[in-house]
Amino acid sequence: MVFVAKFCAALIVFYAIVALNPVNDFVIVPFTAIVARCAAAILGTLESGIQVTGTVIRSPRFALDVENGCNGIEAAILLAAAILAFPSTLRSRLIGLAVTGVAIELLNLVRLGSLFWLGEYHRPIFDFFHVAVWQSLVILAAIAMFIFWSLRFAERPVAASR
Amino acid sequence: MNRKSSLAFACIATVLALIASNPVAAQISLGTAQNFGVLAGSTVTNTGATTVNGNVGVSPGSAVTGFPPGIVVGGAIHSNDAVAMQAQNDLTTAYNNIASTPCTVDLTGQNLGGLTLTPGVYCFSTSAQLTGALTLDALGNPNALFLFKIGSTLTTASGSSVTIINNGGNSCNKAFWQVGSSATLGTGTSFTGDILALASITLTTGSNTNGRALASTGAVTLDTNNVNTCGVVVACPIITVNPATLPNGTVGSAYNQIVTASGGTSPYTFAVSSGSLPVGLVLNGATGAITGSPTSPGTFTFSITATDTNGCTGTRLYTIIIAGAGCPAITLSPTTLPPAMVSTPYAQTVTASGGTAPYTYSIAAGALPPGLTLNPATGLISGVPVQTGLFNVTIRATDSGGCIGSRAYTIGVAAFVPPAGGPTLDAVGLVVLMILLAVAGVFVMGKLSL
Repeated sequence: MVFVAKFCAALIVFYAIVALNPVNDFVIVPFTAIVARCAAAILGTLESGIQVTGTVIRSPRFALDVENGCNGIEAAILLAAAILAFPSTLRSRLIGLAVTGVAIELLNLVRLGSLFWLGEYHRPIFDFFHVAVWQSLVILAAIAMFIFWSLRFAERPVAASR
Repeated sequence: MNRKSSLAFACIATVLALIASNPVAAQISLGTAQNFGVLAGSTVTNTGATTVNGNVGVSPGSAVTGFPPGIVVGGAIHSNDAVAMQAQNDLTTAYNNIASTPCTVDLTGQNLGGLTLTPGVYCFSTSAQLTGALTLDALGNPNALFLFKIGSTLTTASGSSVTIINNGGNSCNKAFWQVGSSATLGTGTSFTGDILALASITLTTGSNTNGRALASTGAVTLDTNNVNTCGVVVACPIITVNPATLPNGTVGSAYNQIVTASGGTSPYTFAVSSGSLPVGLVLNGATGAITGSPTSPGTFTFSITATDTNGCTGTRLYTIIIAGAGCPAITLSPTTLPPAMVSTPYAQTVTASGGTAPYTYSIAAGALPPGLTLNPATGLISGVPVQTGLFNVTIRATDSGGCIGSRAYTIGVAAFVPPAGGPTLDAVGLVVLMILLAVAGVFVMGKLSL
């Protein structure tokens, strides 16, 4: 129950931080624009006519707005809260935060690219993949990463510090 | 449908009939695309027992899947071959012809379901929706024509229908649907007319068309459909004059190029129908050869018209730049420009090389899409397009020594597509992940006896 309490406390702290206007304006929004540009750059290697304006990726056939909730940050925050709450060393936690954060964002780029492609050429199944398939994949990936990390990096001597 | 709705539809139909009291009797020529029941730009994908009357083709893509179980009757599959490429060219011409036809009635925002329309040109500045039955009354005119110009998408609800009545004994080739982006026919739709879509066409399960499904750039997706074409479109075929561009020349150097024609019935004759050839060059009316030795530098824009043995004609606009003697070859890049979208900022730069900088850029022929401008100093084409369509423009670069080069471009402008959102996890997903992480943490700690 200590883990759950720490997990919830970390979540509250993280969400309080990202809810601050300066954090949103100077961190979240620019980061979201970077995510949109990265996704557009990847798509641009596969087809011509891809343009990005702010957080909106466009082609003549489809447009995708990478909004605040589309940048993978919330999934990364949940994963980070779990890692910080789990008994381990500081070094192991930092490794976990870095690796899982990057992995979630890379997965999110693949997600955005595939959703854009589906939106362009297979619009009728876009919503299904968006709502059902990719959410499930992100959840499964986050759980898998956390379980792998916790089994690999949990250090029993640290248990006393709970 | 209640009495008020019936009355409203009857009133609308009456008004539309009065407005469109001048029957449109011209014909639309699809050129070689008329031989295709299904034509796509990227892929043709079929599921189930689909029957296509006429050719099935794709170009510039090459993937045609699902035949069998789908079958092609009275045609063949053309996967990015010369036939499919020519059909796509002809489709573009037909698409633009319809797009340039003035509207008779603006139906923007009006659901087509329940309406009875007389021959005319019906326009939607954005999307068009059909829920229910649309009746096209040809008023007994065998040459009646119904054109639908749709700015973005065409969507039909399940079980909808389009029917032509009083058709003079022939329902064929009377309705054409020019769709600015994609068309989707709902399950069980019974559709009449040729669909000419700029992007993709989707025929969902059990929908049938008495007309062609022709997609310019995107995919055609089929699922247990009947695609019927009922003969060729009347009137002249589209005659294409080739090549698309003629090379530039140099003062004092021999010039020898041949223009040819296709799509009609040989033999053809050729003539300069507008503008003039570079001074010193002549066109052979029988062979299409342009020969001679240019005597003056400059930019020369002219049209060559080919006439086949039946008197049908085709025309292409050319621009030849004659450089002064001793000029190097100046090339412009890129070779093609990416498409644009209405109401979306566009910025692409054309750069010249091979001559002596700095260069100045100008439009030698054609025109940029409305809303876009060319920066003469940088070659930047920028702005916000305001009109859909395909626009041909030739950009000319002049170096500091007065030597010139040019390249012809086609810029496609698609209808505006509102952006869709793509949250990584919605509220439910976040809660599920939070619970699973908590459970996983407790589980692992228990397993490790922490």
